[in-house]
Amino acid sequence: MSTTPPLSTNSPILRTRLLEGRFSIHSVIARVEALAEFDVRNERRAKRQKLAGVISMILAVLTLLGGLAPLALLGLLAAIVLFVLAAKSRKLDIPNDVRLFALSWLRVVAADMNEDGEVVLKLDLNDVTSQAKRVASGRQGFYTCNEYRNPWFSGDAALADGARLHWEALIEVDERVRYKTKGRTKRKIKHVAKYDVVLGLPQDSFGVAQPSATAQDKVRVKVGEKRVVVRASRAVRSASLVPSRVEDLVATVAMAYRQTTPKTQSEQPA
Amino acid sequence: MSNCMCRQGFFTLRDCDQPATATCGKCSRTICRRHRDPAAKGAVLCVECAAVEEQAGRLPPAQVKSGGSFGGRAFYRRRDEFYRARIHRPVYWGTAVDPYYDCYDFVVFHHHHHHHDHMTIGDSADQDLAPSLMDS
Repeated sequence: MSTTPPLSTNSPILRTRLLEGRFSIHSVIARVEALAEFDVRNERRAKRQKLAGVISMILAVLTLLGGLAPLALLGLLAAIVLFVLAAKSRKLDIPNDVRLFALSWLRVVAADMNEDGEVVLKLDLNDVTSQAKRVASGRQGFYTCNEYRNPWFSGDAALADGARLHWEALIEVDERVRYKTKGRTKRKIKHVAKYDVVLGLPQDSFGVAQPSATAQDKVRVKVGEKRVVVRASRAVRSASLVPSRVEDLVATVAMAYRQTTPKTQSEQPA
Repeated sequence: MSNCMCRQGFFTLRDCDQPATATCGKCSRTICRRHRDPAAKGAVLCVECAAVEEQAGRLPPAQVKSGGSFGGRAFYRRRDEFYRARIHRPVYWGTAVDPYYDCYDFVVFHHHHHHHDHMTIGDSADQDLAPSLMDS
């Protein structure tokens, strides 16, 4: 199993906000673990910097009231520097979906792969409501409407049972904001997490089972010359920005497997 | 000693092909180094029994590296939850009969040949998989 050194703030991946390419499964897990560990450290650092900035500001005010203007100025400068550092740390923040979802999913996939298996992966570290992910913006009456679309995680893997697995995780957010001069800003969110899975199973080993899918799932099965290909999709809706759940992607793949059944020995080619 | 008796995988189950180095103190199965729980101090436990003990509160929760679920012992606990809740019915690519797994509703696949052929993505044989994984 490969190990990756801890990430520093100068790491290129934090600049490009993209992990993309072909990796051995264990090396990509190590990379995502390094990202997750960096995220935890970075969040703690930003909190400490912000707290130190607030304390500096309070001390600056107190020393000013005490007539110690030079000290107050020093405190103010320190507060400004700390707030700037905290803002920089926040800019490097990685969405918690990377830690909670991507890492968990890769561990599940790794269990079904050979030790030397490879994945082709694309992991976008941008937050779904970032500027880069906004696809539409406009006004509707008093509301400012923003639409975001983030195809943040996708990949391909060859599993030990001969299956080919492709997955895509997409988040779409519709946001309507009404800014008020008096009272709280009103915000309405429609959040949809979509999971698309394509599972290709060896046709000589697997046949098509009785169709089964829940109301929130879409399933298509196609029997080819070499593979039974199952395409399954699931959409999970919410009225707030909720973290994606790896259980939903796992359940989508499980549903894809349910559309097939292993062939008996007599059904298999000799 | 024989091979490890733990089964690896999530969507499909297969036998662990590693030589066993110890015996689990709870289920008495022979286990390899990889399937021995590292956090169960003073006792030799397989990861699956350790997950059950943790769930029952008899073992302190193990730290999951870098957070997220499905890490270390948590993987076996979550797998157990998925199988018991019938969210997934795994296919077992093996021939061993082991009552330890009787509580799971899995499908045994009797195959003529193995699919442990170490194929990689992008092999020429995968031309049928194209971007849409369709082959006809």
